[in-house]
Amino acid sequence: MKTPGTNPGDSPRGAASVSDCAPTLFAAIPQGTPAHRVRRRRFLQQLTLAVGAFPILVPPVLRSAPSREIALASIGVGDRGRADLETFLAEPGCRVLAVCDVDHERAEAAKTRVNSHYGNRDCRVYYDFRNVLARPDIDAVVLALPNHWHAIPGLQAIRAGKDVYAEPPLAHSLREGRAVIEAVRRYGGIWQMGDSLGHLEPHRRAVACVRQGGLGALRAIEIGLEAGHHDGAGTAGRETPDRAPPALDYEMWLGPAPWAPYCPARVHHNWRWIRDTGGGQLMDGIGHEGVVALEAWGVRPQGPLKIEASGTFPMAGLWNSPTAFRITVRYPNDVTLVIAAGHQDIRRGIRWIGDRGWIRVDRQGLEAEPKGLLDESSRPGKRPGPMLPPHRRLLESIRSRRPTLDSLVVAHHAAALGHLGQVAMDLGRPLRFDPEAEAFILDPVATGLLAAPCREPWSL
Amino acid sequence: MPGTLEPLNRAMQPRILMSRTPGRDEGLARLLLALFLLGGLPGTPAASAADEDPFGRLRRYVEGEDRAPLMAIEARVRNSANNRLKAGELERDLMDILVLDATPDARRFACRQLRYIGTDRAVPALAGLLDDPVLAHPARAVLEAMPSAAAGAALRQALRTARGDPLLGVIHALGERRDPVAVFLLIPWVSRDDPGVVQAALGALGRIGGDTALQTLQAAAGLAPPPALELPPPRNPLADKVRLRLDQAVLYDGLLSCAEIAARGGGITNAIEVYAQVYSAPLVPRPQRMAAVHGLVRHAPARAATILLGWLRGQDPDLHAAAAALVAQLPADARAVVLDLFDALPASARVRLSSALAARADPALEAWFLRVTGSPELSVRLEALRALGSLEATPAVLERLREVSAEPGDAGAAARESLERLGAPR
Repeated sequence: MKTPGTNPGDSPRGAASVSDCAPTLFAAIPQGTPAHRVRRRRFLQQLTLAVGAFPILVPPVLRSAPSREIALASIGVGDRGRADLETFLAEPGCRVLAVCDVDHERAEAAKTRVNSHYGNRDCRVYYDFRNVLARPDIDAVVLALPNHWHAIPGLQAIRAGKDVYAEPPLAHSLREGRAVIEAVRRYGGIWQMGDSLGHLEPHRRAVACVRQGGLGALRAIEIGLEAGHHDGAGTAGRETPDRAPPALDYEMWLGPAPWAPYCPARVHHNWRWIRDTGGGQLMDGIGHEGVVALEAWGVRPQGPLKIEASGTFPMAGLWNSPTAFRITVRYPNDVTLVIAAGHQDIRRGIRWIGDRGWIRVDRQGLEAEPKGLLDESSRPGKRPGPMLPPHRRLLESIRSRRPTLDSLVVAHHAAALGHLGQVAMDLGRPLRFDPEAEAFILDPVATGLLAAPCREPWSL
Repeated sequence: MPGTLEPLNRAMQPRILMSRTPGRDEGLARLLLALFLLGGLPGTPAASAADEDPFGRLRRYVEGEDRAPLMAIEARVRNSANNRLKAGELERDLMDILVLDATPDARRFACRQLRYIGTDRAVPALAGLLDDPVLAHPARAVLEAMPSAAAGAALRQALRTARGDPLLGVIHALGERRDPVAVFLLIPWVSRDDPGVVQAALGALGRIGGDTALQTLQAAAGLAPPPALELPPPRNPLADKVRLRLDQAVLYDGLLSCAEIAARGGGITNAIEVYAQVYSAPLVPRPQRMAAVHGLVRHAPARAATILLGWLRGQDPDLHAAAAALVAQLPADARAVVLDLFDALPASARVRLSSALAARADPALEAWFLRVTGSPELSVRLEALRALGSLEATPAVLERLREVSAEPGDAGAAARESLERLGAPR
């Protein structure tokens, strides 16, 4: 972990400085002084004597479930981050107090937008997320960052006692995803993924119908994703190394990713087509469609067991994520899950296939064969209620402190399907997986590829 | 096969190429498109002039130049995954790039490819780069992921030579590898006067875990070792200068990690002791203190129940919510300690607790929820009625819900909603 420091360019514009925002409960006690040592030793002696009388002290714990407005900070205010920001600005019961981006122009624009929305000048701007995390008055952070930055700010937020709203996929590698799960479990933090489909009516109904069991025994799941690369920033082909624009802190943008020179095609929006910073259409989609597919089925902890994959890789240029792929994942009981893009036999959306028919959903709606599978009222049993959109689930969880770990585990499994598929594509051989150990069986090279070692000084 | 263009996908390919190739490169795109439509491109991408001697071109490669030789090598590496002989040849070629007079960009690329096919043969060449300010990360990334003893030894050896950021990378890698042999080599770094290095070492020790790592972290936190070990209080290994600047969260996170590792290994008593220490110690940041309570909930629920009951009896509504969520995670016997005193809790605590328990939908709570549906407090009653809708449709549940569903107002509506969720007629 890098030592927190104040970036010279980091101007909270009148906010409390990092040292003002000491993160420790008893930071006012000067540590390391002789007097401190004596007090500390005496305290420890008392502690040792009192060890049987637990609890020894009930410290004034925690800002936990705000019974007031929830204070948010938006970290990453590019395309997706601005959309998230607008969503939270429109939401009562929370207030955006800070924005942060390594692109100073984007950060300033976001601050102006927030202040204009609230009609005040309270929003502070930051260029280094660590300075946001040092603020004790922030309850939660909204992360909309390139994939290679998905885990570290979130992990540091959880360790700093903040809750997290994060865009899918959960992490850039399987190991990062595991680290997030462990941290959320350790700290009891709230981590809400910004999955965009689960609350939509067709998807909610599809999940309900599959869960009701009308399909009979589930045989297969098909997840169809988008194919190709789409130039969302108008920078395709601009791959000549250049000096980064003055407004962009490129070194911080790269962060834990392998070093590479700046060029316009590498950064804003189009980072997703480069494997060091994104995962192409596979990792863009799997955190959305994959979560719905698994939610309906129910996560199978005893799988996946076997993965085969093939992909179509670009023939030139910087963008190196596959433009088309087919990943076949085998689970116990002969259940197969296929994730594909650019294959005519797998349409966009999700299809669950069972003994008695199939149900298919995409953003346009639901289909089934036979159609009666969509008649929720025809079967007895419990029916799931409506699902809140993810930003409201975050706010609700923060207020209730209701754990989000179960849904996070599903997000981890969904992202893992992408990670495993990527490795299988890279190695071009079928791989057997031990879901308990989260490692490939008798294939250390493949297992090694499930991690994306951070560039120093960063670490998980 | 990986690395091939698939026939099913042909209709899509032209769009991809065009969307990727603006302005001046359009001619090239059209040429590729024509080639493609006339019979498909060769199985290996970038199989062109670059194939003649991609390694020769790689040696002089500088970022921004034509990546064709790189892509040719990438494709060869991908296609060699099932052919040891071929992979061995490629490994030798890549190792040559590392040790010969190649550009830094070429060597960085060679490291990357060794992640797929590197064996112990490549370890010395990679180890030689671990103190290189430019190439340390790509070399370390390969070694960090290699499970072999040789890779671990190379990383441990690098503790002697690496400095600055590369040293931090090596320390992190040893932690990520959970290398128990590295513990004794990492301990001296805890006493250094560079806070970044000390924090890296503390973090790595936390990840590795074990008695020695735990004792070092306890000493750094000024905590006593577990009584079971019967050790004298240790000297704090932290330099004074570092102690003042240390991020306490890193230190206590390391302790919590050690506790989890101990618990997984059957050392529940040690783990509980650590959680109790972290909960009670004076300098612990709030999130780590809270995490310690979570640890107690998992491993010492009766102790946790006592703490949580204290929070629920207080007047802080935020703390009520935190405690309620944790009570819902307690096993039944520890939870009963709290629920027995439910009626004596403040109203805010009762509402939070019933809401948190409702979300758990635990069938063992059916009788409790049935009782609470008679609560004089409407919000508590509503939570219980909604909770019944998440349980099994037993005769007692259905009877109670039907009874309340006849009532006017919110309680009746909540009961009707639960009946609906249970798929039961009113």
